[in-house]
Amino acid sequence: MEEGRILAASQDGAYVIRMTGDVRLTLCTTIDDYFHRMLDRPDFASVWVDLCDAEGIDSTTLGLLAKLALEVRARYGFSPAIYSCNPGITRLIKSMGFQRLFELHENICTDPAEVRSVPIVQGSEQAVKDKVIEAHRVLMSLSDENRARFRDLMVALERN
Amino acid sequence: MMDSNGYVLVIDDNASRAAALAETIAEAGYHTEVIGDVTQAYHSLQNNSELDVILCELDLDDVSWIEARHALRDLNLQIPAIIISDKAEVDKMMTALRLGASDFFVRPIEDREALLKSIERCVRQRQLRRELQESRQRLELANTELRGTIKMLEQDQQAGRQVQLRMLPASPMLLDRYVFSHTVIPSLYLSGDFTDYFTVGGRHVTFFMADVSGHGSSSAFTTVLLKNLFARKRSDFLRRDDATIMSPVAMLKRANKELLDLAVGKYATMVVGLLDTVDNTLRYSVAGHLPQPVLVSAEGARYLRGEGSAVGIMEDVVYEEHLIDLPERFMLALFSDGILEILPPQNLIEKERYFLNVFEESADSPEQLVTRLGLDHVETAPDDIAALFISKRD
Repeated sequence: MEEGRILAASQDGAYVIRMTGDVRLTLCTTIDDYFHRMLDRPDFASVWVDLCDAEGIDSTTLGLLAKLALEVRARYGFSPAIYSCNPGITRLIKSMGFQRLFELHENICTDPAEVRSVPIVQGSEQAVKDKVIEAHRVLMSLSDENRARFRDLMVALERN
Repeated sequence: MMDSNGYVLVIDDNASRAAALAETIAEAGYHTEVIGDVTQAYHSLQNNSELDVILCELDLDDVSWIEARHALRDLNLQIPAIIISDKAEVDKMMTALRLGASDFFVRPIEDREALLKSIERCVRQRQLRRELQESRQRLELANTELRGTIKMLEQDQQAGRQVQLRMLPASPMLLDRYVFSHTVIPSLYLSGDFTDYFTVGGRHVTFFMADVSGHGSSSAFTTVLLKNLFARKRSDFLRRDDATIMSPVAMLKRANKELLDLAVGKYATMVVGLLDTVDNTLRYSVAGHLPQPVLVSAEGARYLRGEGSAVGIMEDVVYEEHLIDLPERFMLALFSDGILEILPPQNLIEKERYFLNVFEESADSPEQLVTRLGLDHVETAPDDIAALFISKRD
């Protein structure tokens, strides 16, 4: 299994959290802090989670994702999208009841058709929606130029 | 001593020559001291860690440097020394080098600046050595303290482990033709996995398996909370006519509430079951738990399906209650997800398939299974592993 990583990128209030490899957290305060800062931003408009390259996720990380979804729903009135195209990971998150916390997509989020239906902050103007959709399109297009915009949240963790 | 550029010791048996040198050095702002009697010098060196540099005359009467070298080696001096001699002869220089001198000057010392520079260098070197030694001592001290703390924590964890083991039910527990047994292997001392089974009234047995997120003490304490909840509800049934314990779904909802109220970010996957020993039926409910319970009988092995969120994540939870007739002979096995970690396949779906297959091939007794799954010789489990077995025999 690949070493786990949690990556995050944002543009115009749209956020993408991407998990890759075998994600195991002993300390998750850094990531928790990042999520809080994200939700506190005045321009926060949407977040989605991409698990397509995840090979394993431990219970602490799952708890963190559940908390994120609950807070987004409580504060902004929408369920974030979660993308999972690995059947094993899908089985895991479904067994936990994640389809009730997230808008679950069992396919790849880089499909251009996907970007049209990004769940975003309720009551947003059409102009904001268009901007967020565009931002996600930019974030998800797989050019190396964009990949470099992802911050590695786990690097900041003290890991043994 | 304070405010000086350093502390210099001059060793020379010629008093006037020594005084002249000492004066030169003192003018440059150093605290200086002169020793004329070499036998005394040894004593000073032994008991003076304040010294920064030694200026020593090589051509001393009554001093055999060969012997002195041994004495000096025993002293293990960390003080840099500058040797001064009347002659610039090779063998003198060799002697100075062998003594470990930092520098060598020949009288008359014409370049006073060079001597002072050399002293300054020695003082700096001495300071560095001192700092190095101090930080090493600090580190060693910190290390000793840490070891002590870790030892204490370990003992604490081991004591906690003993307590946790005490809280587990008797294994095996025999009840007519039913046999209940369990195994819990912690990844550290304390486990976030827990299992329990107990009779309720004359014909029922309630059992559960819980896997609390994370590891260690906080997860272990959460298991105590769950055990306590079940014990309380059993007592409420017997004394207060409260039937919560008779409903796996109702118990899961209570567990969900208790964990949410705890507000420590801990959640748990669970399986709760109620066995009716008269009708030989099982009422059960699953809360996000993997692998699902396995029922083994003459027809083979199958998973007992069930959907539902883990407890302690969200307020409005939905659980399914299943009621099944049990075979006349069966074995029911519940494991925590730690077992999946030690199975060879890479992804979850294949692991679940592999796991079921183990039961198909070798499931006559829990002991056999434990061996087949390699549980009897798990050195260090990556995650806690718990197993609960319920069998009915002829």
